[in-house]
Amino acid sequence: MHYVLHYGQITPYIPYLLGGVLISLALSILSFAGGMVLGLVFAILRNEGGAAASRFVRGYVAFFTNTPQLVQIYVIYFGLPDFGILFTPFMAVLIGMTLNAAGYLTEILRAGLASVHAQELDAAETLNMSRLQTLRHVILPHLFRVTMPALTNQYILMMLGTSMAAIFGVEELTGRAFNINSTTFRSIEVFTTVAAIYVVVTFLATILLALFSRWAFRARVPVI
Amino acid sequence: MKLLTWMGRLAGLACLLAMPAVAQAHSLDQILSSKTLVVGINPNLPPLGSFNSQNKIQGFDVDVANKLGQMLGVKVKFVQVNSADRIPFLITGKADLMMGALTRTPARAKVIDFSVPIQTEALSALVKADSSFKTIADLNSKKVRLIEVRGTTPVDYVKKNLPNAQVTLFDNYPDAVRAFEQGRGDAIIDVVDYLGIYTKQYPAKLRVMTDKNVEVDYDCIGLAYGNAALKSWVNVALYQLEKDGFLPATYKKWFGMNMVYPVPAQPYF
Repeated sequence: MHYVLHYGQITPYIPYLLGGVLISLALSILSFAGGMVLGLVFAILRNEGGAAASRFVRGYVAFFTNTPQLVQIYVIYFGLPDFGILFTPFMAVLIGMTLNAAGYLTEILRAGLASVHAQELDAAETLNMSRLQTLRHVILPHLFRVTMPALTNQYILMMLGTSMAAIFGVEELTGRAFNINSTTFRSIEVFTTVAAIYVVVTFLATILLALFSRWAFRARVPVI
Repeated sequence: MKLLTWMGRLAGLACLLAMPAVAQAHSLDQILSSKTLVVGINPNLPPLGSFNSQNKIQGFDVDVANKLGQMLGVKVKFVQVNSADRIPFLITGKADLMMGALTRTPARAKVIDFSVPIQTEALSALVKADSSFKTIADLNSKKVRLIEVRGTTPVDYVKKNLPNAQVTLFDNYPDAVRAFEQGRGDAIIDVVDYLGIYTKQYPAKLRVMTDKNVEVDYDCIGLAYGNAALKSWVNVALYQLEKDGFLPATYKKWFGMNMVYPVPAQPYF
């Protein structure tokens, strides 16, 4: 094989690729935030809500964790327009990723809730804390402290999962790589460059999240 | 020593016997007397050629070749080719006629002969019938959303001629057409003929806008260089088929639409 690598042909596209990173980050951060809110509500509903709410949450989690995210976004992107609901590519992917993330985050957060010690809850009751106060001052700090490693993992997976958006015409990092590949045909150079960018981004994200959880929840997680 | 010489001679003879006979293209006379016309078809190029559920090749090219065979009164034998095989198969006589959207170019005309064109390939714009666009130039606006397939030539055309339009890229034609039909874009620029097989699955009324300055590729039936009698027969037959409506009807049957840049019947060649 006599293939000569020409990374020089890719360097003019680096700013274009970095623009794609911003879109990937926007997608992953927004959908993670949305998934956290939904997931927290679902996890509390599952534990504290009635039988019907609990059954709904169980069904939701089973559905969204047992079907591929790609298929879920396909339904939103190509299926819903047949019923007159038309989302832009970015919105469709964002909604799909949020709903998917909610499924996984519900389970992670539920595990966190289950790990709160009964004695701490008793202590809160003894101090005459209301249920909301207990949630705010006892349960949530404990929850995030315990689940931070799993949440970080989930975020990294979602960040990498944004590459799926390329299929739906969102020009994030992978989509832009496809575009460059289709004009330069330098597949090895383009995709190894993009892989390196993903590594740097996820590595930085891991460090930042670890520092954040040490600062905010005094979680005992290693930074590197 | 003598034994070695003999072994050499034997080896040489074996090579001679094993060498494939140099195939010659069949002349019109040979085709008529052998009652077989060999036609090259690309089975991976729908709607020109593809395998049906019985694993038989079908398509526009197949129908045209069968019609030509019927007019000649001979049996048609198909050989499968891919795009790169087309010219070598003619040169080595593995096929008498070559189909498969063979575009006429000066470089190819140095080594093979071409019939009159049977099909054109050129970029045009597909829009909804009730849209307000009148010409392709109207699409060059910031408000226009185009849908294209990644890595295809129209992407370059759009960059050059319609730089203001917003472009959404998809990875395949079914997804691109579906997105267009669902209203995610105002137009698709492509060789619209090949989109007919996808657009006919949707109810929306569509309209095609042509560009008179666009480069039109003429696809012809290829023949071996200098196969003169067969070439003139094919040209006469194609004039007949164009004039009596067989070619336009067959085109519409397979492509699901009329040819965007139509080929007129050619009485002179």
